[in-house]
Amino acid sequence: MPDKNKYPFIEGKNISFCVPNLENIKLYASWDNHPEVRKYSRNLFPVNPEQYKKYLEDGQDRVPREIGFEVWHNADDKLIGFIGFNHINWADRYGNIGLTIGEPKYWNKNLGFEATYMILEYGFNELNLVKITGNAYEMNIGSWKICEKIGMKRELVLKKQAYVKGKYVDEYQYYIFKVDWDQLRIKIEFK
Amino acid sequence: MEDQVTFTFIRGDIIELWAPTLEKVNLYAKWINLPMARAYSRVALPKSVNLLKKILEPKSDEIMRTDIFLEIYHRDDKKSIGIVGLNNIDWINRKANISIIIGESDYWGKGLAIESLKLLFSYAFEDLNLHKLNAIVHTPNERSLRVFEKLNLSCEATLKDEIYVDGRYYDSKIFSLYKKDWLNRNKEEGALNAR
Repeated sequence: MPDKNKYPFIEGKNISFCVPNLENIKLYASWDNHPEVRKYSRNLFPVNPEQYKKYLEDGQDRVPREIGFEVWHNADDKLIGFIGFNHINWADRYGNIGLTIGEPKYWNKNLGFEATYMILEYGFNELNLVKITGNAYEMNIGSWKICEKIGMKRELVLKKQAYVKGKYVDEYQYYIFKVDWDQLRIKIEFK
Repeated sequence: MEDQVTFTFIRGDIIELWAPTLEKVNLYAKWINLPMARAYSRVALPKSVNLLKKILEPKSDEIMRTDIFLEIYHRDDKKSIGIVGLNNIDWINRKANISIIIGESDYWGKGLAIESLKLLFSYAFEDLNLHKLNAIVHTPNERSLRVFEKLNLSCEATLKDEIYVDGRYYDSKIFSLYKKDWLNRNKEEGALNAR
C-alpha cells in the first residue's frame, strides 16, 4: 500500500532523497516562510505554494539549471526538507548546493552532513560535474561547519554581503573538486 | 545602406557562423525542405515555417539549450548559404549530434561544409566542453560520407536498414569524434604550421 506520496530516488542510511511532488508544495512554501528557517536561508519575501507549482511544471524533460529533491527522514518516514543544485553550469561543469532542513527539530542531528555527502556523490558520479560549491552566511554556522567537516575548502569571503537582523554579515563560499572528493569520501562513515 | 547589422558568432577563413534570426526563417525553411538536401537527412515530413519559428523563439534561461543552430555565412559573397548545428545535446554525458545543410546548391563541392564543421567542432569542444560528437550519415549520401572521412571521424557503427529513401531501405553509419582527439590533432597541426 503506497501510504504516502513518496518517490525515493537516492536512499541513504538515515535520510532519502525523493522526487519533488506537487502534493507537497504547501509544505515547501511553509519552510520558506518559517521565521527560524528563513533567517538562515535569508528568504526575505513571502513565498506561496503556486511559485513551487510553477517551478515544478517548468522544464520537466529538458536538462535544467536546477535540480531539487525532497529530503525524507527514513525512520520517522517524514518529509523534513529540500536539497538540490541551483545554478548548474553544464559547460563549465560546476553546481552550487542548496539545502534546507525545514523542520527545526531535525537540526543538529548530523542529517545535513549526510545530505551533503549524498548530494556530492550524486553531483560527481551521476551528473558528471567537476566542481561543487556551497554558500552560507556567517551566522549560519551549522551550514558552513558541515562544509568544513566534509572536506570542502573556503574559497571566497564576501565581506558584509547580507543585511541580517539589523547588521551586515559576511557570506562564505566553499568548494570541492571531484578528484579531491574521490580521496575523501571513502573515509566517511555514518552512525 | 551598407551599415547592416551582423550576427557573427564564430569567424572562419572563407565563412563565418552567425546566430540565426527569426527574420530569415523563410530561408531556413527553404533549405531544410529542399528536395536534393532532405532526401538523405531523414526529413521525410515537411518542416513548416511555423515549426521553425517555434524552435527559434527565445527560450527561458532556466532551461539549458539542447539544440543550437548557426547560420553558415560566406564572407566574400556576403551571403547566407546554409545551417550547421548541434542537436540533442546531452549535458550530463556531454555528447551531441551534429547536423549540416548547405542549402544553396551553387556552394556545393567547395569544401565549405568541412570548414563549417571544423568551426563547429572547436565551438563544441573548446567552448561547450563536450566530450563526444556523433554524426549519423545515411549511406546513399556519398557527399556527407566523404566529408566525415576527410575530417577524420571514425565510423563506430553501421545500423542496418535504418532509413527508407526513394522506396528502399539503406544503412546508416555513425561517425564519432572525441574531444581529446580533436585537441591533439589541432596541436599537431599547429606544430606543423609553426615549422
